[in-house]
Amino acid sequence: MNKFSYLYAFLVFGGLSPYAIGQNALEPGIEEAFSFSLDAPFAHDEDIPIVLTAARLKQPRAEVPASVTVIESEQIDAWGVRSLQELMRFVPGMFIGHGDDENNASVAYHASTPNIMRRLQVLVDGRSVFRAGIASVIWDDIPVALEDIQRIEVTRGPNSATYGSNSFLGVINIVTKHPKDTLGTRIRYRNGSQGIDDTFLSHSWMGSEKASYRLSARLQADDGFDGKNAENGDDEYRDSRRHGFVTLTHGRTLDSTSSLNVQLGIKKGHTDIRKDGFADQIYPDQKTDQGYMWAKYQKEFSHSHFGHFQAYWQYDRRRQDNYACVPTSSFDPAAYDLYRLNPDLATTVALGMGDVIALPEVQQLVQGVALGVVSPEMFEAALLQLDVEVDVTEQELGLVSDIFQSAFNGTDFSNLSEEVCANSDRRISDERFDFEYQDTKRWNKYLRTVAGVNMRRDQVHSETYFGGKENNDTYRVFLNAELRPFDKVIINAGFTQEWEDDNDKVFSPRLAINFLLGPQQSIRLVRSEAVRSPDMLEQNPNYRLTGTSMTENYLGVEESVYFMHQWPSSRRLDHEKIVSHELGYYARFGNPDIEIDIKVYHEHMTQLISDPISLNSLDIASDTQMDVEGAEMQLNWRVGQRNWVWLTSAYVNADVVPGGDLTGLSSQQLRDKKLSELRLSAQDSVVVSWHHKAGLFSGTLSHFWYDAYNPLTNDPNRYRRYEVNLRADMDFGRYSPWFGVNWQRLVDPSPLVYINQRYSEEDIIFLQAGLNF
Amino acid sequence: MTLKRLLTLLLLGVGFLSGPVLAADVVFLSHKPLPVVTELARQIGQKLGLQTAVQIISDSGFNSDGARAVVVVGPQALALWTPGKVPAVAIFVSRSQVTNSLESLHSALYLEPPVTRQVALAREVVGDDVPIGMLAQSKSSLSVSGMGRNTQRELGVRPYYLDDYSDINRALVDLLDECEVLVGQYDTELYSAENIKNILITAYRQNRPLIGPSSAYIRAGALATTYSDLEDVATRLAEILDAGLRHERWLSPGYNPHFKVRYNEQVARSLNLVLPNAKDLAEALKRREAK
Repeated sequence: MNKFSYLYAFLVFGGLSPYAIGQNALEPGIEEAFSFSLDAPFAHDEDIPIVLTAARLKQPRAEVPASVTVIESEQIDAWGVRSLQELMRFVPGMFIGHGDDENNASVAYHASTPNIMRRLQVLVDGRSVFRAGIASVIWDDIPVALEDIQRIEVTRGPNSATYGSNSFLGVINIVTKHPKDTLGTRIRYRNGSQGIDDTFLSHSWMGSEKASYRLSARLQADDGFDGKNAENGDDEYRDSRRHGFVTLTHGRTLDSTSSLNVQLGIKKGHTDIRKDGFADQIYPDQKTDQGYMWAKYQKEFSHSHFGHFQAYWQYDRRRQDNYACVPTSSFDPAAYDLYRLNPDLATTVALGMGDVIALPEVQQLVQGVALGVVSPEMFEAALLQLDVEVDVTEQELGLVSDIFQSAFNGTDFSNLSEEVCANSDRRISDERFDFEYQDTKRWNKYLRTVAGVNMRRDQVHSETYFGGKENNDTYRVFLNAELRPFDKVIINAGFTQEWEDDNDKVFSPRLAINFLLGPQQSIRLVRSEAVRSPDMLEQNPNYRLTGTSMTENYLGVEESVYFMHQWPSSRRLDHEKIVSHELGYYARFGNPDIEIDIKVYHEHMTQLISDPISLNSLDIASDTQMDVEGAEMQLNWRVGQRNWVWLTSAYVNADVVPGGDLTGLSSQQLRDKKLSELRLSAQDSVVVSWHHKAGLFSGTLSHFWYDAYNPLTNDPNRYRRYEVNLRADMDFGRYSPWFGVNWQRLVDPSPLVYINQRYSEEDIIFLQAGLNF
Repeated sequence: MTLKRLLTLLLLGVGFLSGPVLAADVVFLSHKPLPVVTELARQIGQKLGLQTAVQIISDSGFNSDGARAVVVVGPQALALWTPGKVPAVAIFVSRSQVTNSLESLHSALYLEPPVTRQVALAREVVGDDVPIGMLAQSKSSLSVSGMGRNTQRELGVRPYYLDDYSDINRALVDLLDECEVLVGQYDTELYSAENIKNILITAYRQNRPLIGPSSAYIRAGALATTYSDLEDVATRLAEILDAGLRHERWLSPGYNPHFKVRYNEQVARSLNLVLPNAKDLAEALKRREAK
């Protein structure tokens, strides 16, 4: 691959100097001007400028070197869904599920773990909403209202060469509407089953001829799933969400060649989180605060040369309070030290003694250890009697002895069964500063380049996760050259080179060839490599829970650190890697008006980190391998002005080879390991949507069909659902109200990914109303 | 046409400024030396077998002695022109510019394509039963250009009058929301160099193409237009002069029935549009107009 890249770099920069071809290739010939703008000397005082310049125009779909699904605002309105993640169901090969621990929607392209959303890049107007400290996308925390979205461009497949690291399985690029395009006031309200209660208000105005503004606010709430045993509309599962934000968008024309766009936003949210085990006494709900400032300056140097500078700052503050009761011994400082030497032994001693201390032989053992008369070998043998197999060193036994001595009450060691209750918080505050310059230049009709530099600082502050403040700086250069050696052939060669504090430097190349069969028809071959950098918590954790306001305990402390923890430099993870090959066909026909995209692909992923990142996961390794092959199709058919059909289908065949030592694992254990990456995927899926408009009324009927969902379970799920969105638009002069109803019929009652993720009724219905003026 | 030839034509044109005016059957009046006018005069001479000459008209007037007809080229020349005994035809003037001089002119050929033709083109590009939007400064400005209420209804055109809005962008928001395509009517004030940038960028952001108003806007980023090139103008002018001079029947002022269709291929590809063949489409539109 590298050899290819160098070859194309030579062709681009060595072999085909822009000056060798001639600078005027783009300028219209004098003869053309003579007949073309014949009326110009008589009609216009000044020349009509070239507005949609070669640099400004979007790439024609047939020439795009990737599989792309574009969802326009028209479809968003027609489907009537409430959230970004629901829109992703209409993208072929994309699946949505729900993570359990964070109560967060998960979206995966082909296959990925549902628990943490970290292998897809998500951008809002070029701003990454990937969290800085613990890499993930929290969908509810993205401060963009569907009503403000112009379009969503989903690049299906890795694309680090254009979008940088974490553009691993794909890239979801959300483009919001310019405030000039939403002038006026918009009000929306939605209410229905499952606690759905959404409000949206927005006002856009022109401050002057050259300055436009939009202020949007949204509140959104629902009750989430109903739980595994709930029936007839009951909700037995506590997973509600309430989120609200305000954003200000400003667009300004500075002069005839430059413009500035600015966005500001603040957001607050409350997400119910399930209790983590039996120790939790309260629900560790998440309270979140986010904000951002974003600015983009665009400059047109000439008709064929265009640049932008983008800068943003964003913060994400998350607070999770907990009150839990655990054995007091787990807060013993000696247990903390022991955990670092021998986590299994520490866990046994700190958490496991309470249940057995009443046994006379255990009392005797504990006493012997406390007095220092038991050797490591004797202790190992005694633990084996209790079904605990663990190696013990002299030093470790010394720490066990300290724990037992602290628990001695003068008579016996019954304190080892004492429980202490304590508060803890998992506060984490992320910040990101990002600066980027991107330059697009069409050198001549043979060559166009997009190049740039990017600098990012990720900063995180959390006593719990990082023991204070941590930074991670990333520097990136990228280049994509679009070369047209022949009329019918377009070669795209690109790369990103990245340097990062926390991870090794990485080079991600991409090469694509599009053969144009016609102006709107092409075959493409793409080879792309990408990486996902392990995040700061994966790579450099300093994760420990401090108990405060502790109830009375034999240690006599009010505050102490829980023994389980993770410490810096405890691991050295590699980047997750993907190499993808695809063969695609795109065509747009005029009559009938059909746009179709088909692709077959193979993705080879290595060094995947499949383990969940939790306090007790010490053995995290980047050693899972996954191969995915399959085919997918997207078809958009416009039947006159009144009807359109959106049809997608996908076949995904994924094979996972879990890392580590697999010898001795039962088939059930092996399956469970594989399932962590496959839980979200369906082998076959078809989504079809039909929209019809009749006068003031419009309706959209969608059907989702996923077969062999969650494929490794004994009884793979089938997931089917109908959705109908009806709407009536009215017009009373200045005021345009509309009313609508959205009905979702769940055909299969089985849970989505985890057992509690199901609804207790077959129908979800909500009413919507809107007013524009 | 080569650059060398153009320069020669230009020099010839300039030559008329200083040299004695030759006796000519048809005198072309232009406000400044323009290769277009020189070439047009040459073609007319060739087509009709007449002597033609180009004169630069100024405040001090022009000399049409011995001429059988005068061709006033462009609104600038028309403003300086004073009616005389020699029959006059105005070309490269818009319908609205010629309104005041109608009585003194024997005929005129408008420089803009008729808006109904542009609408017919838009219909071919985006299909039937698609609402077509038009911006206009006021109700009267649309009906003047032949797009009265009945025609609007007949052609499925929705007008958006700037008079009804606080600014052009609010009108554009409504139009682009409700219509698939924007057809520009020939109004150089509305579609000025300054406004066109805003209009085109706003429409393009929402994947809506602009049709027209004239060929000058194609390079700017309009998707398609009908237009008459020099050959078409020469053909029509020859028809007008031939009818007037030989048969003494001056054709009434009107649009050029000879035209072509032009696309901005880059914009079409970028909007992923499949367009019909331009030549065939022009012929189909002509046949429809002839009916």
